[in-house]
Amino acid sequence: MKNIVKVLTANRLSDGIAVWYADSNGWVEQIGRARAASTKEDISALEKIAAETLAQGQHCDVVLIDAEETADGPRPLKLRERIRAEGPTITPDLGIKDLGIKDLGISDLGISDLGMKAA
Amino acid sequence: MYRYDEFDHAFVAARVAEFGDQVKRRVSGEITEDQFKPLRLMNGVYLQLHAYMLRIAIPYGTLNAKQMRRLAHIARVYDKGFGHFTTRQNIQFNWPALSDTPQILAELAEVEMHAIQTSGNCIRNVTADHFAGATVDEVADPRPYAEILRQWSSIHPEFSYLPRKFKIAVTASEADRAAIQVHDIGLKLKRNNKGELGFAFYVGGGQGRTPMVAKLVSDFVAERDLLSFTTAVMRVYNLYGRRDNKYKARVKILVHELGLDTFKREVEAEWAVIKDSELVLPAKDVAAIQAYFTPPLLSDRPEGLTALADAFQRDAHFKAWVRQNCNEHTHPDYAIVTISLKAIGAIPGDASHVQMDVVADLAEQFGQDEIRVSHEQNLVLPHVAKADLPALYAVLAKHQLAESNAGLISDIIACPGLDYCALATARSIPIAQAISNRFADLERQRDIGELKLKISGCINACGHHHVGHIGILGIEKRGEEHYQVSLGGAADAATQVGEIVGPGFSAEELPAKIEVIVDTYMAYRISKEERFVDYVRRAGLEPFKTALYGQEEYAI
Amino acid sequence: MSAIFTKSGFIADTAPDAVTLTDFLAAPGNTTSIVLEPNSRLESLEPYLGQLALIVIKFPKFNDGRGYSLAARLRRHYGYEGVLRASGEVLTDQIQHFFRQGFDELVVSNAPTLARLEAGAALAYDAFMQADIQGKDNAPAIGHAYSWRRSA
Repeated sequence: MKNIVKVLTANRLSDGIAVWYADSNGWVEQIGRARAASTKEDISALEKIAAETLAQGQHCDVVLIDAEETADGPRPLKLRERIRAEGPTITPDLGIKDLGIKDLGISDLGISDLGMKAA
Repeated sequence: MYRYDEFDHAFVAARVAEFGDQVKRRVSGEITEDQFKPLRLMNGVYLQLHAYMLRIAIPYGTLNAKQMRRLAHIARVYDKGFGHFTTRQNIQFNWPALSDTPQILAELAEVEMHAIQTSGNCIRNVTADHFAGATVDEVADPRPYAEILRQWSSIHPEFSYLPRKFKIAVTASEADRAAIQVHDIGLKLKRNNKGELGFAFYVGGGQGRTPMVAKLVSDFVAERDLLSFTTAVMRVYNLYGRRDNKYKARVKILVHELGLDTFKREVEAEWAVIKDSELVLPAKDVAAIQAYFTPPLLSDRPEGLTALADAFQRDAHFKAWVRQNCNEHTHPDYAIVTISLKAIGAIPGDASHVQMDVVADLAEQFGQDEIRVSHEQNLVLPHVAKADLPALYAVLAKHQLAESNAGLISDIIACPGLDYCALATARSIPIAQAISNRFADLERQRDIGELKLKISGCINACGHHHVGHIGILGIEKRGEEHYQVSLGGAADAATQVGEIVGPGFSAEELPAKIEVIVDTYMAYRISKEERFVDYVRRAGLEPFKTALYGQEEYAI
Repeated sequence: MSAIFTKSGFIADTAPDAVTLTDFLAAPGNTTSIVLEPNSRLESLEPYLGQLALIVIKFPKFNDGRGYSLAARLRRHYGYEGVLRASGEVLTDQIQHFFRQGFDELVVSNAPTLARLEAGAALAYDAFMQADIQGKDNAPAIGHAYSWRRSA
């Protein structure tokens, strides 16, 4: 039985990086540390933080999203938000990452080494 | 290629300074995000899923080695080491910080590049045939006109806040490698029966939610009337294009809703007032711009013939690559080379900074310092001596740039999709990789022949799936990625929107279903000379529906 | 709080209240000032342009660019020589577009925009890739003088 919670997310104005609202740390880059709200009061509190954040103008696209609570922290329900949390599912040097969603049935992509320096 | 004069440098510098100031005002809160967004879009800065994306203009897909090296530098210093070449001949970087973009733009300006109007509701990059200036089948090089339109449309006070984006493409050949009929304005350079140059002027093509083929608004707009006639179309669109619904705001909807006759009347009425104004394009200005596009002086290299023959004997891979990726040049000793950015299993259209530097070096050494980006997300070296092809190939092969698949099924066009794009409903890159791997065998690909497969990760169709011989559209169905397949699309002289073949498929099923489609064609084509798209035009969708969805008697 | 800005600085508003196009056409009388919505059709206005001293064009959203084309037609098709005034969301980054499209006066109510104009902040461009709608700027002296280029 999924425990559905709300999590507050945004993109930082300065560099556009996707961030999630954690507690005293403010906005963090790992959704695992995000504050999860399940009660009406907690959700209200997040909504208030969303409004304040928008007013301060240093974050864009501030929204509450649905997630399920897991041992590793909140896991977004929507695929789009999961990709946003975990990064692109393909990178030139790392190959396909398993997001725990439907496996695309791709084993060896044969992605060649592009001679890239480590990012 | 075009070189900036003092005026151009000052113009771009003013733009860079303006954007730097706009960023400062946004950060300080002097302007809101709503006020800032159109401004940053007009400087190519998008906000995507993970970060900002910067789209840099490569005017009509032409650049030189110095510019390519600067792009490699930007990839290294401001990004994660790679860039993506797009279906509009531009390049995109996926990870720049907003705070870095003014500096990036300044570094681009040093090499005569910019990101002006690569997004926003304004006139975008004017694209052109990627074989221009080298191909045997063109009336004249169309790029000077693309350059003129680029300049004239830059920071235009009347057309910076259109109902929606506006895309122009120019071709000068019947083959139309610029997909002009799926552009807002499509221009075909031609001669009238007096031998004078002018344009067949198409309006209202486009893809997205409501794909439409452009309508011929004028069979011949004389060269001198190019800017005034374009202004007339833009003014009619700016005044009457819909602004109530983002998905009904392109000029194609206006043409459709008014009807072609009414639209033509409005444009002609507007044009009648302005046709003899300061917008007249003087022949001397055209000549001055054309001078920048004079073909390079190519020395005869007759040894190429035997050099190739020898190399073919020694290396079958090289022979395959020449046969598939090299096109005829106006000079018999030269070839137009397509550098595939579609290595099997790689991300279509992506190049690492290493690969960019390699292409720059090769352009200088073997390519008259000229590089093109095609809307099919490959690079082109338009002027390479046949005698130099073996050496060129050897370097390309070392850097995963020598896939011999130009125009074949693994030469896939794919948008970035849900891995990067905030608009996407499904991933497209892993799909492209899976299909590419499935059809990796080059012999098989060549047996299949020309097959343009295009994948879009959402209905906005940036992967041009509507005009794919096989088009794939990724949508969301009950929270999961789902893929619709269409057949028979084309963006050439016989431009046509593809037809959906039937219910869509999951990501796991899709590669096998594409194989069923290909096998159906292989079973029923008259001969190898009947291309996939021609077979679809002849036979329709029935054989494919049967093979994909049922009826044993037709099972292969 | 709003003020009227021109190329020579701020001016006082001495114009009579502007009348809507519909009301004007119903009873033109001696009215000299009208206000146009972005979707206005100008054909019906043509016979009366001689009596008009002020036409206000509304920009309800700064990114609704229809008013720029209305101004172009008023100046070029109909030869209107009276005052053209823009009102609505008139912001810093469109100031130059207004002037180049034939507007004389801009009603500015956005506080940061007012502050910048009052401080005499310079406009972004003095080189352009198009002529202004009234042909008032000069062909450039520097670089190649292609027919579409101008300087302030």
